[in-house]
Amino acid sequence: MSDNSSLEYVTHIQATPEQVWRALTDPGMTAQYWGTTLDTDWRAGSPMAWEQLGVRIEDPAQVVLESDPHRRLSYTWHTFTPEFATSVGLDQELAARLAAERRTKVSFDLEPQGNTVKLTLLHDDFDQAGVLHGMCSEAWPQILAGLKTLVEKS
Amino acid sequence: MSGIPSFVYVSYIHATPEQVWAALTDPEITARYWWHRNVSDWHVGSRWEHLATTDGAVHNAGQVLESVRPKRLAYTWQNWFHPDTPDSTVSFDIEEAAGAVKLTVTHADLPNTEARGDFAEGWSAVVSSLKSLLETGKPIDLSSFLPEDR
Repeated sequence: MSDNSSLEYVTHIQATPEQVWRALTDPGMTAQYWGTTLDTDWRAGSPMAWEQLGVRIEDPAQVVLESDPHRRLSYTWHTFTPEFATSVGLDQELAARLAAERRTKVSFDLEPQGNTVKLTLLHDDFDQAGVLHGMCSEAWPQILAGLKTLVEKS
Repeated sequence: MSGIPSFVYVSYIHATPEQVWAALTDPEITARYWWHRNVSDWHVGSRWEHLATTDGAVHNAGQVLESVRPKRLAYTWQNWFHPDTPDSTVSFDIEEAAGAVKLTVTHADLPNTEARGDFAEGWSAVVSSLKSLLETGKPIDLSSFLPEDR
C-alpha cells in the first residue's frame, strides 16, 4: 500500500500454474531471468541456499515458509553477507545498512484465470526507514517481466 | 490533488519504443489486447475515446495532455465505474532499458482508494496483455473474468 513496509506486484502469464511454479522453483529457470538459484527441497521449514554471481549465501534463517505446489510459495529473504555485497558492487556504507535491516519475506500466489495465471508477489516486513524496499521496488518488475517472457516463449 | 497516492505499474517489454507507442495509440492494436479501440489524433488538447470492441460504446473519454512520440503520453481519464468523481490522469513513460523497453504507467489524481484498487487490478491485466501481444503475438483473453463494464 502507501507505506514502505511491503510491496505488491501482479502479472498475468499465459501458462499453467504448473509452468509458473516451475519457473519460480527450478534453478535452471531462475538463473535465466533472475541470475539467482535457490537450492532447497521446497518443503515448509527447509533451509534455502541462494547463489548469485557465483556467491553462495547460507544462513539458518533462510527458510521455506509455505509451499503449496502450484498455488502458493513463501520464503524468507537472503542475508546480506560481505561476499554478496562485494559481488554486486555495493559500497561499504550501503552494504552495512542492508545487513542491519530486518529480514524480509516474499510470497507468491498463483491463481488460474481462464488460460492464464494471475501471479501476485507480496514482499513484506521491510524496515520502513531502510533502503531495501526501494531497491526491491525497482527490481521486481524487471525480474517478473523476465519470468513472464521466459514462460510464455517456452 | 486528491491525497490518494498515485498507482504506478512498471513492466519491461521486448520491443522497440515505436512498437510500444503504436500499441498505446493505434485503435486496431488496443482492440486486440485492451478490448477497446483507443481513438484520437493524439495531439495535445484533442479528445480521446475508449470504445468497446463489442458495441462501440464510449466507456471512457478525456483530453490528451502530453504527446511526445515515442516517449511519453498523458491523458485525462473518466472514472466511469466510479461516477460523480473528478477525472483522474494517466501517463505512460517509454524508455529503452537493457535491450528492452521499460513502460511505466502512472495513474494519478485518483478519487478514492476503492478506485485505486480497481485501477491497480486493471493496469496489471492490460499491461500484461500488451506485453504478451508484442512478445508472442497472443494477447491475454481476460474477457472471461473481467466484469462486463470494464
